Amino acid sequence: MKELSIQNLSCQAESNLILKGVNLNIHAGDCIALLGPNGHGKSTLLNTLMGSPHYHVTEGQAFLDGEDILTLTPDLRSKKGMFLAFQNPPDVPGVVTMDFFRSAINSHSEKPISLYNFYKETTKAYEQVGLNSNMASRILNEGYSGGEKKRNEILQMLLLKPSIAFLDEIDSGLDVDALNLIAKVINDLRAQGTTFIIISHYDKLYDLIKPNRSAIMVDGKIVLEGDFSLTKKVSENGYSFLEREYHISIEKKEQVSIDTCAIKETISK
Amino acid sequence: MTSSQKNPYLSDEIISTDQTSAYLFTELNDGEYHFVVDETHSLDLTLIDLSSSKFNLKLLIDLKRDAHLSLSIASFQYSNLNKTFDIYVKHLGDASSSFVRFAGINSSDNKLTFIGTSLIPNGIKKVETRQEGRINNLSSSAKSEVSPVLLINDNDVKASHGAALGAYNPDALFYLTSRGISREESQKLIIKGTLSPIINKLHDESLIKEVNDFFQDRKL
Repeated sequence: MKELSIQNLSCQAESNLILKGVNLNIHAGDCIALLGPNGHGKSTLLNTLMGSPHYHVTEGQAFLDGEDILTLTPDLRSKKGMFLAFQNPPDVPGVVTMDFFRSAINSHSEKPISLYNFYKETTKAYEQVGLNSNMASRILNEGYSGGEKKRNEILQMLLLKPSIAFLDEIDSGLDVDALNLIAKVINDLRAQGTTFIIISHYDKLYDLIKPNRSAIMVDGKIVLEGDFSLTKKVSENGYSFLEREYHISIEKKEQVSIDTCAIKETISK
Repeated sequence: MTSSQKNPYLSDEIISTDQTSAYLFTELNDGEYHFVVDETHSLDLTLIDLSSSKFNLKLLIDLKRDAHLSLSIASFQYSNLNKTFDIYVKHLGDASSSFVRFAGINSSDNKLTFIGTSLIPNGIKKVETRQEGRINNLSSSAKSEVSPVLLINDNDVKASHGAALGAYNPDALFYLTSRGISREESQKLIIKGTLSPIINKLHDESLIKEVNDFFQDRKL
C-alpha cells in the first residue's frame, strides 16, 4: 500500500448518521493516533473501512492506492492488505480457532499452507503474543478472557502480515506486560513497513510506539490533525482545549429519533 | 455392538444388547420406527442427514427400567422440500435416562423442524431426560422450528430442555470475512463446526471423509 485516501466519508447505522464527511489521507509508513471523545465515530470509521454490515455508507469514498475499497466485500479488503483488530472480537460458535487460522492464511496465498509451516508459524505467533498454543484447539473467542481476545487479535495480525492495520482499543483491559508485548509487535511491524491507525484512550500505548501523526475526531468528522505532540496534549489536557483554542464544540449534535427504540433479542440456551 | 452405516434400512427394533450406531443418510424417506430399549441396556444412536428429500421421520423410543438413550442428530437442510424430525421418548421404567440433541443448519428457503418429546408417566421414578435443539439459519428466507417438549407426570425426575434458533450472528460472519475468508468459505466453517461434534461420532474414517467432502464441494 502507498496511500489510503478517505474522502468525505459519511455513514449511518440504522437511521442515525454517525460519520459526517471524514477526510483523511494516510501514507505508507504512517502511524496515526486516532483520538476523540467517546461516541464520536472513531470505531465506526475503522469498522466502516473494513466493511462492517452495521454501517451503511451514504456518501464519500475511500481509495486504497486509487481503488475505491468501499465497493469491496470485507474478505477482498483483507486480501488488499487491510486488517482490523476488533475492539470486542465476537464469539464464533462452532468454529475451531485452528481451522479459522488455516482458512485465513490460505485465503491470503496462492496455494494452501503446508501442515509443517502452519504449525511453525502459529507456534511462533502464539509465543510472540504470550499465549499458550493449545488455545488453537478451542472455539474461536469463546470463553477467552478479555486479555486473551486482544492478544489473539494481535496474533492474527502477525499471521496475516497486513500492509495497513486498524487497531481499535487494542490496549483496553491489558496488563502492563501484555501492553509492552503488543507495543513491541506493533513497533516490529512498523519497522517492516506496516501502516497503522490506532485508537486508544490511554497514552501509555502511544508513548511506547510514538505515532508520527494524530487526528482528532469529533461528531463524525476529523476536526484537527497534528504530530505526536497533539496526542500528548490530549493525554495531558483532555479535549476541552479544542473549544478554547479552536472553537470546536465537542457537544454532539444528536438527531432526534421518533422511531421506537425497543430492541428485543431472545436467545435461549 | 458398534456400527457405522450409510443409508441403512431402518426398521422397528428391540435393543437387548448395548448398542452404538451411527448412520449417515444421503437419502431419507417418510417413516415411523419404534425402538424399545430393554431393561439395563443402552442405545447410543447418531443420525446424520445430508439428504435432499422431503420427509417426516418419526422415531418412537421406549425405555424400560434402567435403560439409557443417547440420540444425536445432525441435519443440513439445503433442499427445496421440508424436513421434519419427530422424536418421542417414552420413559416406561424407573431410573431410565435419555439425552436427545439436534443440531441443524438451514440454508434453504424451506422448513427444517425438530420436535423432541420426553414423556414421563405417573409413577415412574428417578428418570433423567434432556431435549435440546439448535438450528442456525444461513439463508434469510429459511424457516426453522425447534420444539423440545417435556411431558412430566411424576415429581421425582431430572428434566431439562433447550432451544436455540436464529440467524447466524452477522458480527461473527463479518469477523471471519474480515480475515480474508470468503462469505461462502466462512459459512462452510460454521456449518462444519456446528455439525462436527455429531459427525465425528460416525467413527468410520471413510464416512467422515464423505461428509467433509460433501461440504467441501458444495456451492452454498
